[in-house]
Amino acid sequence: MNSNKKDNQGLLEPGPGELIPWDKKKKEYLEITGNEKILEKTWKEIEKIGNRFIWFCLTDS
Amino acid sequence: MPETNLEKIYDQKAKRLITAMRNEKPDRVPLRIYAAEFCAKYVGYSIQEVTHDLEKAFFSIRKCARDFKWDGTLTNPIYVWTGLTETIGLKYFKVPGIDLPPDAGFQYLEPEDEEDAYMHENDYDLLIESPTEFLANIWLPRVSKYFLPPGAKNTFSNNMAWLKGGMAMLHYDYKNIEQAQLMKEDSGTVSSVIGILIAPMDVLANKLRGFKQLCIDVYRRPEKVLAACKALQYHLLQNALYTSDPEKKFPVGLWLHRGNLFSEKIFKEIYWTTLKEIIEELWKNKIQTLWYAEGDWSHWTNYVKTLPEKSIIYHVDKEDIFEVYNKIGEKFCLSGGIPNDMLAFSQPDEIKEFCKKVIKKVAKYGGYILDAGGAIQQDAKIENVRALTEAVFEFGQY
Repeated sequence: MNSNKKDNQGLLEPGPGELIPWDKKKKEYLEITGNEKILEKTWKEIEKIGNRFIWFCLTDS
Repeated sequence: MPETNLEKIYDQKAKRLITAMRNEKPDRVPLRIYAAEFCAKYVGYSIQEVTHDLEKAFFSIRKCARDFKWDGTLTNPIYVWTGLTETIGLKYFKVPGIDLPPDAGFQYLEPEDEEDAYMHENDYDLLIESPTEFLANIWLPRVSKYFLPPGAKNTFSNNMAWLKGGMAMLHYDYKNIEQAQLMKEDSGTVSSVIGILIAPMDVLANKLRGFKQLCIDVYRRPEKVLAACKALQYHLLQNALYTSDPEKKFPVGLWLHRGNLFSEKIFKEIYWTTLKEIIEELWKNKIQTLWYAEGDWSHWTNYVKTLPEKSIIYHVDKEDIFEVYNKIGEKFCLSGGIPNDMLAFSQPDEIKEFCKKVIKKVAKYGGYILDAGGAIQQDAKIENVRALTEAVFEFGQY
């Protein structure tokens, strides 16, 4: 199975478990003065819950 | 100590279920009942009460689990909970106490034609390009009274629906986890399905295009249907993994809907090929799938047979369970097969006799879990559901 992601301008194209992919989010920062991985981990944790809501509406209700 | 006893009982029940699900022989045939509106009837609630009030829904199934000595069941008997569906204003359900009499079960509204469909025929490329964005930006605003598409003039209702919808889902998830613990503490009953999977093509048929429109699409634009199913595949796998049992003991529920209604060509080339890969990925992650085959799927047993041994539990609804057993019983655990019609119209001694026959033939070497064919509704007689329990205790010991 492949995630079938393509580079398509105008769409964020979140992958499974994502809404705003980290690669897009981090462009908002002019500079990350500390450890990027710390920001990324927390961002992705909440992404999964948000993504689950969209798919919950589709599969669970 | 009562707590210790219940913990022991829980462990026994869990072991019984897990052993059978791995197609092996436990100490006795497990009783794992999926009951829906029946639970409300049993405790004296209206269907409206258990559809709207989560605590009443949960209490009703805990009481049934305790009184009927079920080894396992679902945490929530009722699929629709208005705490979520009304919060986000879902249009596709008719709900008891709102659109239906208080004692009717909820109904799903199938889109009647292209105009009514929640995904239109020219939307395929949008879905294929970015499924999650399609759902959030296009599908949800169409199925909800409150959500707005990007670019529309915003409203307080839209903002609050997003806020409250997310909160409602977290509340629902939290309450289900709590309910699993309460079932354990109350009667040692196991929450025996954890996580959800829907086949990609069922997603199209159920919630996006609607069955009638999809039946046209598979002839007019089959390549789009296949591409859409492939685009959905990876997201549905992620959804199943995210909601699955972290301990990998209990299966993800796969509630099968429309795949048995298409021709073999369509089934093989689209439905099966995109579903099979998800089940195999779950199995690579050591997660079983409950193949809950609603209706009659007997014409596709040869396809199902190609799945890895023990990767699924094959649940029998309208099929002849003895025939299913002969075809795939050596490879997979079976469950169900007790016709819901019998629970509604037969007598307790007939139920017992049929269960005895199933237990003696299908459960002979283990690998069988007793349950009704479909989720038990309010038409089932209480004495017939009781007869299921008695049959297991009378005939199901190894």
